[in-house]
Amino acid sequence: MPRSERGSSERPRTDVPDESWDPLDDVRSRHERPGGQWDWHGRSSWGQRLVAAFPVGALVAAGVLLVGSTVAASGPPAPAVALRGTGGAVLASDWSALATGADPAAPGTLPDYRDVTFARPSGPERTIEGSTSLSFPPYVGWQANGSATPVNGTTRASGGLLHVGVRRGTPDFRGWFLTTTGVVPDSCAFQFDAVSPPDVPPASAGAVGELVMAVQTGTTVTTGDIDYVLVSEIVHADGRRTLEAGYSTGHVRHAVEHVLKRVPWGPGPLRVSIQTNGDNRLTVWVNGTRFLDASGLHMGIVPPLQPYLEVQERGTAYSVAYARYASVCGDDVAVSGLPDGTVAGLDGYLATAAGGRAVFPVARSAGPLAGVLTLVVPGASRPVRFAPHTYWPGDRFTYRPGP
Amino acid sequence: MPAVAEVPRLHAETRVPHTLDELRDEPSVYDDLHVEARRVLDRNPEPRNLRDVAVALESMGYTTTQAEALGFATVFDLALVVFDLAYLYWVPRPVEPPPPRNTWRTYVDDYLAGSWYGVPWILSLLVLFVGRVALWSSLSATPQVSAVVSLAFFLAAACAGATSQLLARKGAFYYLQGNYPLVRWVASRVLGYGAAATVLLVAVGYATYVVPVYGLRMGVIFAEFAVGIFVFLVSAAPLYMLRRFVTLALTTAAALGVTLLGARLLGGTATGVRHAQLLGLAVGSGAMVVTAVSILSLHAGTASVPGGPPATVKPPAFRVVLWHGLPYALYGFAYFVLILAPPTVAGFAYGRFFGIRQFVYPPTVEGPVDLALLELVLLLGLVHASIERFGRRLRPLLDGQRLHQWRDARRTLRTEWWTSVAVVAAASVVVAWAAPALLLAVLPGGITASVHAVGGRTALDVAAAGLALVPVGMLCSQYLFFLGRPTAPVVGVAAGAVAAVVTAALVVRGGDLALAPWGLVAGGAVYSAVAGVASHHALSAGEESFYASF
Repeated sequence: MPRSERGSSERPRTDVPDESWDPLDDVRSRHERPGGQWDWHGRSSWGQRLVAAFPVGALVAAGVLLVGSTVAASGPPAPAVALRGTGGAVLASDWSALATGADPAAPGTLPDYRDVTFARPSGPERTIEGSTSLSFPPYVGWQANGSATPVNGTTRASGGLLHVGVRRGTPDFRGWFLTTTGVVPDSCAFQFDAVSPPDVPPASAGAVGELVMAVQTGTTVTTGDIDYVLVSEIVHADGRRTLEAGYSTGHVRHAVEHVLKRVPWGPGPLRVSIQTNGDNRLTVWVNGTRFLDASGLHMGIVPPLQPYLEVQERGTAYSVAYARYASVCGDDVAVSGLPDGTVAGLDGYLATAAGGRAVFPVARSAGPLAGVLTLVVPGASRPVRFAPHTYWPGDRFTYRPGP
Repeated sequence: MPAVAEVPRLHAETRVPHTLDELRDEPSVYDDLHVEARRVLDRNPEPRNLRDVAVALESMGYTTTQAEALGFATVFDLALVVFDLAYLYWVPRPVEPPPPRNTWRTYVDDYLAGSWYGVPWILSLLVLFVGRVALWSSLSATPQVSAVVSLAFFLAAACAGATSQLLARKGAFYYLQGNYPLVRWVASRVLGYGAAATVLLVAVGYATYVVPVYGLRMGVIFAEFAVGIFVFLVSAAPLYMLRRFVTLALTTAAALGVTLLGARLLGGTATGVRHAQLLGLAVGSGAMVVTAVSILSLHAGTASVPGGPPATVKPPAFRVVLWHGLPYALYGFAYFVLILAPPTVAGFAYGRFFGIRQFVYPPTVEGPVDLALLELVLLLGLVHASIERFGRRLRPLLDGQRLHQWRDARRTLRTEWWTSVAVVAAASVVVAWAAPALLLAVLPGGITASVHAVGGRTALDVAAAGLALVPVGMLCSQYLFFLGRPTAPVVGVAAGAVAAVVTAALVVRGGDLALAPWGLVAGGAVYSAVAGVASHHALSAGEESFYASF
């Protein structure tokens, strides 16, 4: 320790503070100071004043930043979609209703799974940190995994389709899937659009390919439970196809499958909507028709849930393609802010505004309404038309007329 | 230091006097030297050797020219005479030799004392293992919450490092003098300024990055944890300075207990756990602050008794304190940047991989680096013991050294440097080699899960190697701090931080985040090399470095 930092404690003790050994001090004026008095410096310089003002200035600046950014972020969220219409009209969407029941802090939020079209080509996959799953860039909130292992499984978005496949056939059933990292409430409907699964090469006798659309408990990561409902189209090497729906329960591996309905099926695209509470009720729509409506079940699937876009194979390389996935968590498409009496037309449906609101009654299990939304506002010389758009059940829009 | 012109002019003599008897032939010179002897005693009430007197004379403005004007060849020759006269005005206290102590036992005691620094972290890890939640760590947090809490910790740790270093330097300066009013004076101001600067930085991060990127809810979590962690860390700083390690452990245990209890009572939900953590941080911080204030108040209450420390308190200009403490604050800030740079860089690279400009929590890097940091608990005690040993040996070495023996003193100091650095380096290598396997064998799988992911074990080994380079840099920096030379440590740790950031960024460009700990190797090597060379150079200068520190 430098001597200067210790010297004072070794100073000769004295009750006279100003007693000094230095003779020069003898000629100086002596001021007795009472014990414990603080001897402050004289007039502050500007530098001293700046330093003294720093804490207050910093806190004021911090307060301005915190309050300003909080207020700015607390305002109404920017609409996720703002459609421009004729005459300068705007149709702004409100997605806040979509977050019902979901944990906004979870990786991948509900809007990430609202209307996924796989229009953007995917990039190279890589292992997610701390997980055996592969990421699926640029699709945030999705991951790939499966018993086929990353070596044999493949996931790729190209040409507007999601291709999920197994490169080489295996003796037993192996699968590969794309699922969400986040979860979806059981109040939502899970809608899948898939192209017709390809035929299995006839040369591979006994081979089977499956297109599987599943909804699994979101607790698998923590519990190891592999409880799920599924709708699958099974393609045999001899050309036979069947469509079946049911559920499976299990722990870690070897889930026991319960098929509730199985019917012969033909090639063609599939639009499947699944709605279940995970416990005792399961309803499945296929291509707009109710395929299965079961209640009184004992599935034990703990919500929230995760959708799986999957392929399964045995004995053959196999790949299926999905065109779209959507988590639909509300009914009806509604436009508010309309003058009463406004007639809204969309996709062949007409709705008249009452109480400032026009509602297209569409169940969440149904597909979207698509096309040009037309508004005939009373008193207006010409209707307002908006650019073609896909309107999902649960969508809420606010109309703002042009200047 | 008085101007040269103020030095009383003494009569010049052509004959060089060598003894007091000779000086008595010249009464005027003799009288004036009496004055100089009293002035020397005013500057140094208890000069113990010739060098102390020479330093005092130099501080009074004497140079060789002035000494020659008095008929002395050098200031040391003048000091020889003044030293003799000083005995007329000062009776040296009988020197009480310190009780003989076993060297090894003292070394072990110092090691254990230094190891107390790591006790709060060990406690946190144990509680994290048992309750899945500790001060700011939670095994149940979602990745997004983990990301913003990590960012909050990085910022809070760097700011707390700067504040704590500044407080340790200036607070310890007054504490060792027994000047408790000034200890409180400097502590309250350093903590206040540090808190203000930290709140400003948190607000800047909140407004410009976290809220725009993560949203308001995550922004609030970031701000809460950044402030909470900073307050907790700097609240511990006065207890470190006062060396109240048991108190520190008890208050940390109290904070952890409150966190655990709160997590249970609040139902174990994610929000409840976060609130319990903040409550625990607040309780721990409050307990530490109350304890430190109580201790200092107790000391200050005894300061006015007869024979106590100086009663008149003349505080220095705080901007001067800040200016002189700035290198230490920069050192503390850059040190944490060096340590935390690799996981931070990896997190941003991870987000970039997903096409988003978010810091995404990278468990394969964060987990191994956090585990490897535990090896510092073992090594910090060694650094502490080495610097304490140096402090005990330096003064007797220089006090007992005669002027012509400077080569021996410098050789002894060089030997001391080599010995201590070699011991710390060897221990670091052993710990870095053994720690990864030991940690994986001892710790439960829930804590080491990230190490078992692809690349995790390599990341742990590399992080352990990189952090093993840090203690040598810390020891060498302590030598330089001891000698009042903070520039080289600041340059070294800043260069190390830059090297860590650049290296980590370069190695993760290919997409393998697990390579990020190589930044620690690069940063640690640069830091230790710069501090090592500078400290060796300083100790090689022996007594010159020591007296230059005054």
